[in-house]
Formats: sequence, C-alpha cells, structure tokens
Amino acid sequence: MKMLESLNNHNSQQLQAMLSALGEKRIPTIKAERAARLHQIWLLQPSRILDACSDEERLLLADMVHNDRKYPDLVQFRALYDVSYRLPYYRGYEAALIWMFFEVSKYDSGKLLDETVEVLKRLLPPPPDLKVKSCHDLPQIGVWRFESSWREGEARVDRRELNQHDAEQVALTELRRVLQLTAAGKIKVSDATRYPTAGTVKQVATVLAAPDLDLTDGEGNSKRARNKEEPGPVRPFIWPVLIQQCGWARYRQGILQLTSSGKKMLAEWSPADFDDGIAKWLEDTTFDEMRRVAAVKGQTGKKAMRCRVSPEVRRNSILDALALLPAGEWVEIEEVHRVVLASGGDCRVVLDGYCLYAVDTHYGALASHTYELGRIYLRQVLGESLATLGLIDIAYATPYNLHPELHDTFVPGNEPYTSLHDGLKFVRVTPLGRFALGLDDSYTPPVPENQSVLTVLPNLEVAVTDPAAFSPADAMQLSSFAVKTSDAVWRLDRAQVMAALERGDTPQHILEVLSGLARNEVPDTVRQFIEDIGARAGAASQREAAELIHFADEQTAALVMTDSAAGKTALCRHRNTVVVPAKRIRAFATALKKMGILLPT
Amino acid sequence: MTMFADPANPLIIQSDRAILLEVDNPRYGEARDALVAFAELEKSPEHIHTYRITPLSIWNACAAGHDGSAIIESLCRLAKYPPPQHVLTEIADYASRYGRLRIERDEDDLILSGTDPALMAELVRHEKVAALFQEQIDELQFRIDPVDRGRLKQLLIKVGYPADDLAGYTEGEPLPVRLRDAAVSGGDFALRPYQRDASNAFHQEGAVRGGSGVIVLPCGAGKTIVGMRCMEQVGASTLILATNVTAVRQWMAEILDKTHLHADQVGEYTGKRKDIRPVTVTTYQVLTYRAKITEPFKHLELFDMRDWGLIIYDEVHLLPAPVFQVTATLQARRRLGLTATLVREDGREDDVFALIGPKRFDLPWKILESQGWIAKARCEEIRVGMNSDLRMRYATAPKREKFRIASENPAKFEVVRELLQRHKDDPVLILGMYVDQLKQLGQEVDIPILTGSTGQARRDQLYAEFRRGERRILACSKIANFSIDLPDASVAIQISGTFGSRQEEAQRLGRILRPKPGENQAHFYSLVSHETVEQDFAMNRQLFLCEQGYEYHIEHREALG
Repeated sequence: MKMLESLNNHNSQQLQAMLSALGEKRIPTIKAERAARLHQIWLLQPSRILDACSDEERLLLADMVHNDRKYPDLVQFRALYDVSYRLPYYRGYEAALIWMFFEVSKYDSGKLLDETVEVLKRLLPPPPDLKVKSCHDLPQIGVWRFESSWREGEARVDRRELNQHDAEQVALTELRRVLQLTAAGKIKVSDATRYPTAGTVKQVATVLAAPDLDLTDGEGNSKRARNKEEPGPVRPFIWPVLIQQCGWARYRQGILQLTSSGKKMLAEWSPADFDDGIAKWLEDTTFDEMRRVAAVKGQTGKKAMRCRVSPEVRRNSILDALALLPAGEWVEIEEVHRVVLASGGDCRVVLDGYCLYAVDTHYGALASHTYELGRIYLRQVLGESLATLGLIDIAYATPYNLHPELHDTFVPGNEPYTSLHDGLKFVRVTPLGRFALGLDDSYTPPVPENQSVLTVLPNLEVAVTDPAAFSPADAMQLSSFAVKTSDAVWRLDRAQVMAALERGDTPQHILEVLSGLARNEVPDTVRQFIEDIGARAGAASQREAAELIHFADEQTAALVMTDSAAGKTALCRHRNTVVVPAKRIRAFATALKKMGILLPT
Repeated sequence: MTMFADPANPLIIQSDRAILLEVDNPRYGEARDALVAFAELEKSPEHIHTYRITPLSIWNACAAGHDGSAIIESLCRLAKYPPPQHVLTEIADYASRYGRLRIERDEDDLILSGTDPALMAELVRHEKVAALFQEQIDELQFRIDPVDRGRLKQLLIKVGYPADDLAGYTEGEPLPVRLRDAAVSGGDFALRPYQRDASNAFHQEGAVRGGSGVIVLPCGAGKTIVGMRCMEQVGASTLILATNVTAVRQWMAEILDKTHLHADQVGEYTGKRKDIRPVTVTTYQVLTYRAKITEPFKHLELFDMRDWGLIIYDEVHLLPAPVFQVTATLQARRRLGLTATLVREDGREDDVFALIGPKRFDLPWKILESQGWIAKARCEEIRVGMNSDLRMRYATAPKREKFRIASENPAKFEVVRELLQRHKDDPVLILGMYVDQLKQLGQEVDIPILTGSTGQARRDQLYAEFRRGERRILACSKIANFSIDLPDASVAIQISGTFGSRQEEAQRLGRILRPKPGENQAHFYSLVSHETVEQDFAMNRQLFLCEQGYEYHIEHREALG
C-alpha cells in the first residue's frame, strides 16, 4: 500500500487534525486534497512530520526501521526502552501523525509503509541498546512495592530478608545422586501425573547436597502446619520431574528408569550431555511448570488448553532473556521479566486470561492478568527448574502474603501465597547457565566432590572407607545390587544383582557405579561375578507367546505334526499337545481346517 | 577419652565391634600390630582386613598384660572417625572384668578369690558356680576342689568374669627334648625368630601365668616346629592331639627328624597302633571313638595313662566336645593349642579360652610373606569352554552328574599343556579329583600319575626324582591333600576339585607356599568349565582364598568345536 492510499483511508477530521498539528494555515476542505497535502509534505519535508511527533513516537519508528519490524509491538517496545507509550486512536479527534507511517485500511491497520522505511532510517538515529539493571552485590533486604489499582498513588511496601541459594555445585552433586536413586529404582512417580510420590519426595530430600529452599515464614509456622499450608519441598519434588523432562529418565510401571543418556550422565557428567538434556527440557510437552501454581485454577480446562501458549515457547523465551543478563550480576525478577518482553519473548501462560481464575469460576477471572500470569510462570521456572538444574543462583524471601502479581485479585484472601516462588527476588546466571545458554563455548565443572568413598574387595565385599562422604544416594544405589552386612560393609549379592538387572540395569552400569565410587580398581573376582550374572541373566534372548493346542489323542497330534502345512507352523509336540507360536496360529488354524479339524475358540 | 580421629587413619570401627583396617594406609603396620593384641582377624582380602573385638579377644589381651584404657587409646588414636561410644564402653567393661577373680593354689586345694564382695555374693547365688564351692573361707575367698578347676573356669567365662588362673601346673614325667641343628632328612635346621617368640610367649620361662594358651600362626608357618620348641622348653612327657592319622604321622616324622628323641620314645596312638610312649601322638577321632552311643569314651583314659607334662592340641579350633570335657579335668597340666584361626564353627571359642588358655601369640600371614617365610601366591582361575557336544551332554545330564562332566572337560588338557609351556622351567604339581581324568591326562602329556593305589616304593621314587629336579611334573589325586611327603612345587594346576571344599583348596595352595628362590612367587591355577556348576563351586573356594588375602585373577579359554 502506498502512503497516499493509506491517507485516503483516514477520515476527513483526522486528516484535518494532522494538518493542523503540522502548522498548516490553509487546510483544504476536500478530503482527497487533505490527504494529497499530507503526502506532499512527506515527500518534500519529512522532517517536519517527524518533528511534530512525540519523542516516544520517533523512538518507536526508529526501533521499527532499524530493527526491521513491520508492525509495532508496544509491549516489547515499552519493555525495551522502559517507556510508557500508547498509540493514539487513528480515527480519533486528536492528531495521530504517527499513523501517516502505517497502513490504514478497512480491514487491517498498523503495518509500516514500505516507502517510509528508507527515509525514516535516514532521518532517525538508531535506538539505544537494551540496558539491563543489575547489581554486583546482593542486598540483604528485598523490597516489594505494590501500587494499588484501586486508589491511585497508594502503594504497599514490603521488606523481607533475602536467602541466597548458590545452585551450580549443589545441582551437579544432586543430579548425580538423583540419577543414582533412579538407577536403584527408588524414584516412584504417579501413573497419571508423573509427579513423584510422597515417599519419593522424602527419599530425594535425604540426598540433597544443600538444604532445600527455606520458604517457611518464621512466624506462625505451627499454625500453618496444622492448616496444611506449609510450603512443600521444592528440589526433592522437582528433581524427579526434571530428569524426565531432560530425557535422563523415563517412566515404566510406576518407577523411573534411567535412559541411555541418563546412564551416560551418571557414569560421567559431560557438558555436552547436559546441554542435550537442557534442549530436551525446552521441548518437553509432558509437564507445564505452571501446574505447580495451585492458586491459579482452570489450567487443565478445555478453554485454557485452547488458548495456552506452549510451554516450549515460554521456556525458550525465558532462556533467551537469561542470555541477555550481564555475567556474574544479580538481576531483579521484574527486570528479568522486562528482558523477556524486550527480547520479544512471551512467557504468558494463556493468551486469554478469561479461561483462568482464582478461587471460583464466577468471581475470580484473571482476564486482565495474562502478563502477570506470565511473570508467575517466570518465577516458577526460575526458582524451581532452572535453579535446581544449577543454571542460575537465586535470592528469595518467604512467599507468605506477598502475591506480587495478584495482590489486587481474589487470590490473597484465600491463599497464603500464589506460588511458592512469590518471594523470588533476584537471579544470577551461573557459569553452567552461561554454557547451557550458549554464551560460553566450554564449561569446566567445579572440582567434583571426592567420590572415592568405597573400597571394593575381591571377596565381593564393599567397604565404605569414607563414611562422611558416603551419601544416602550412594547407599541407595549400592543397596540395589548389594546387601548391607554391617555399618560400613556391603556384600554383593546374586539375588540383588539379578533384581537390578530385572529392573533394567546392566552389568556394565553396575560396574561403572562401583568404579565411580571406589578408590581402587574393581577386582577381577567382582567384575567376573557381575558379568557372570549378567551373562546368565541374558541367556534367554527373546520372548514370544505360543499357544498349547490339546488334541483328543496322541495319534491325532502326531498326524497334525506330520501334515506338511500344519506341521510347519507348529513348534513341537508333547503327547497330545502341540505348541504353536501365537503369530502363526492363524496359519495353523487354516492348515487344521484343511485337515478337517477346527481350532477351538 | 580424647578422640584423635583423623580421616587419614587406617581404622574404621563399626558398631558391631568389627574393625576395618586399610592395608594401603601408611599406618597399616602400626594399626595391625595394635589390633593383633585385642582383636581377632576375620578376613584379610586385598585392601581391607576385618578384625573383630569380642569379650574373649579383650580377655586374651588382658591375659597378655594389656588393659582396657590402652586398648581404647589405641582405637581412638588409629580411628578414621570417632569410634561408636558404646563400643568403647563395652571394651572398658569387658576389660574390667578380667582379673577380678583369681584361682590360686593353697597346698592341695585351690582358692578362688576376688576383690569385689558384691561379685562374690553374686557367684554364691549362681547355682552352678556355687555347687563347685567346697567352703567359704571369708567374704572374698572360696575353697574349691582341684578337679573342678576347668569346670569352674568354664562357668566363670559364661557368667562373664574370667578367672586369672595362677594355680600353676604339675611338672609331669621329665623328658629332655633337644632340637637338632640339622634335620635328619638333611639340611640345616634352626628356629625362625617368630617361632622362638611364639614358644617364649607360651612358656614365659615357666611362670604360672604361662604354660597354657593358644598360638595362632598361618598355614605353612611351622606350627609343628613351635610345638616341638615348647616341648623342649617344658622338658616333660607330651601328649599330642592331631586331627587325623596323616597329621599324626607328620608330627612323628617331624619330631624324629628335628629332635634328638628316638623312635622308641615317640608313639602312635591311633586306630591301627596303640603305643603309649613319652611322646604320644593321637587323633581326636580315636579319643572320641566309642562303639555305641551309650558306651563311655574309653580312649579318653589316655590322658591319665601317663603323667603328661604337656598336652598339645593341634588345630585347636577343631577340638571336639568330649575332649573339652576331659580337658576340663586336666587344668594342672600345661596345655598348648595350635591353630591358624581362633574362630570355631561351633562358636565354642570361650571353652578354648577357659580350658586351653588365652591366645599367647598371633602372626598374620602377610608379615610372613613380607619377610619371605612363605612364597607369594598368585591364584588364577582359568575358565575353559566346553565344545557343543559336551555342553549338550552337560545340559541334559542329571544334576548329580553335571559336576563330574564339567570337571572332566577334555578341553582342560589343552590349557594344561599351555601352562606347562608357560612354566617350562618350574616344578609343577597337577592336582585332580578324578583318577580317570588324571590317567587320561598322564597319557596325553606323558607324566606319571600318583593315586591312592600307587605303591609306596613308586611314590618314594617319583618324589625323589621330583626333588632332585629329574622330573619336573607330577600329577596327583586326592592323596596330595594329605600326603605329608609330597614335595613342594612352585606351580600347582588344579584340574578338578572337591566341590566347594575350601579346606582342600587351602591345602593344595599350601603345597606351593614354601619360600622360592628369586622372586619368591608361586602360581596356583584352577581350571574350571565355563558356565557350569563347577564354576559356581569354584567361586566359593575362590572367595575363601580371597578372604585369606590371595590375589585372584580370572582368564577365559574357549573350547574348539
């Protein structure tokens, strides 16, 4: 569309307002002439039009032409430049000069006119780069300021002490331990949700390398405990979910089993394998982190599913934003959200907030809170998934009664917190995070904890020679193929090894586990013991169903076996019984039929 | 008690009173020497040795002059982590019990005395103990019949208060015994330092605290020699109890070979001969023989047939119950127990302590190996495949025949040839369980076979040739397990064994442990058929040797066809 055509699509009053804004003294009375005059000014004096626009409008145009944007994205624009700007109504009484640069038609408006791009690019300087506010030193106190949406100028200020969680080293250790638990068949999950069972959460809690996030409120804990309002565990809950999302474990009959990449990770952690895991986490469709925010209801409803933004899009937006954060600096969560939006990301959970509600479907619609819901989601992913995986360090306060996003909704009256991570205030990308985000080409993990905690003895005993470093996860893993005979001694046990193999473990992996924990080389006798069991256990190479067909007498069965067609399909005969593989039963039935015998139904 | 626990230390003390000792730790030697005094070595595989503290091990230590605080101090000083408090408390408690009661001589009677009136009062109320008291002299002393000396000591152990027996011994019929400087069979003969230390620890220069007890030495360390040295020190007629006739003959042969005693002074009291001489050697089996279960053990009279000054219990951990009963009445005689382990299958270690005496000397085999008194042994299991025909025969055979089919796998012969080639300069013993298999091997490899039916003259001839190096390879059946005159070799190839017999494996291994010139290295090969019951049985034997600390390796050979 050409500018003149677009101008002709404006109404006459708007064209008049535009000419007035440009200081024209003699304004034509005919609409087409007004449009032609505006077009003439653009052709002869384009600066005159730009000078008449506001600073924000010039910034918007500069952003569009220098960043090759066809349509204005005001959410991103506001986030990028931290400005408050709304496009004027293009058919309003007020002059909306900026609309001269956009296509206006009956059906579609807002595309930047092609013919203006080069001129604008020449006249408007490039916009400033995204600036992220950060701090090097973490403040001890976090400050939350909530503007009242009911009374202008009123605000609630909340100050809380911050806890810091340095995640990287903890994550690497915990990941290994959780994978060990998984290898030991100790991670049980719900058939329906794939979330860990309560028992599993307790078990994972025993292998944490650092205390779980302290989300309790110092005051009134006992009362909350009675009311079951205590925040649940964070890392013990989310680890079993994460290892599924990252493709390191898969569900099988109520428990998680290590996948080949999980076994690889357990045997030897490598940055590349970790990176693959993060890539799988990004694409995962089984879990939606927002489900952990119980205060926001209606998430699984049909409406919500229809207008849901895919978790993959949301997660990618968050990781793209993290990549823009300054290295080694703490960034406030609101700033992270701004960066998400500024980078063109979208971590909104749904596009239409009417499908979600707080408290009750009739009263608690979160229609106007789609971006706020996105920020809740952002906190959830950062505070739970990414901090647990060690990509970011976090600083947080208790979530009680904060409701940073939904403080003016129905939620606060009913729930002690919207999400467990309401109190998440600052994040800092770790070196591991920088590697996973593609900012650094290589990653050297911190010096791993000393794993030489065992001595494997040739008499099939395993002595724990460093009990202090021997974690419950190590114990769990050992118990999957050995029996404890005293405080510090385990004995490799044939039945236990068989059980482990039955659960999908392999002799090689068992030996790798032993090697990984042992200070000495695994003795020949032990290696052979495990391999012998593995070889024997794998002696049955394939399983296939067969049917036993009983005949009236031995002679008939023999007759069938000697029949050229039926005999070929059957496997063998014992007295009056013939064994037929299930996959050949139809051919057998047909052959029998030809012999005049019907196969019993 | 100040805890000096340091992760660099070698001991891990467990709550069940088992102690793990890291062999590779720089302080291993110090810790081992400390532990030997108050704990029993249970297992000694590579890397970690397991010791156990028991009330008896503590009392053994106390009898040797250690006290509870010294034991606790040793543990705390050498522990990686603070020892469980209850273990330390128990040690202090057990140690405090030893010596609270003493048995002393009062002319013809014995006096049990104590220092704690409450304990003495408790004993008076103990039905079985009180029955042995003849008279209460005062609050702290009781007169007892010398006949009940052993019985009382047994009961006091059971009550948990072992008595310190200071009542002394009868001297017995004098018999001067002198060890030779050169063995009759040839070669110099001298006591090794540890053998001298062991006998001195037993005899204690004739003091009342010595003269009874147990010496623990590993196989091949020369327990017989220690016994003879004790005979020399005691200088009295001696009754020796051994486990079987073979061992009886071995004792007699050794005594005649290495002492100045004459053949007419040494008698055999077995099923075949009933000679009672100043030195008489008999078996536990003969002593406990009776025609009917209702009849008495008539051979137990042997203990009273002479005025024995010393009774030696060989392999004391195998001492049968009736001999314990008799030994309870022999507390006035000096008693020496010899064994490689104090651990008894029947758990009657307390009776050994009460009736034979406390442990006087203990030397781990690793020390002997490091000092070159025994050879280093490398054990290797070679798994030999079976050809498809034999596999099918094995698969379809009844369970009881499977072991023999696997044991007689002809593919083993090829491996034997290969091993003979590998050790072409070494003396080799081939050991088997099945005579047919050995005969077939003998024909294929052209080597002489020694079985139970081989005449003594032929045996002597072959042994002599083997010793002189004229014959490098001998194949033997089960006679190798017991034959005392079988020469030593540096390589043993076991082509078939007795199911899971750990004792047999140890005995066969013992054949190659005599010190070797050069690297002092012996090789023990065990050939088993792959994926058969023989392999499973072999594993039991293998684990036993591993627990004794022998290095074990596994190799595979595929059968052709």
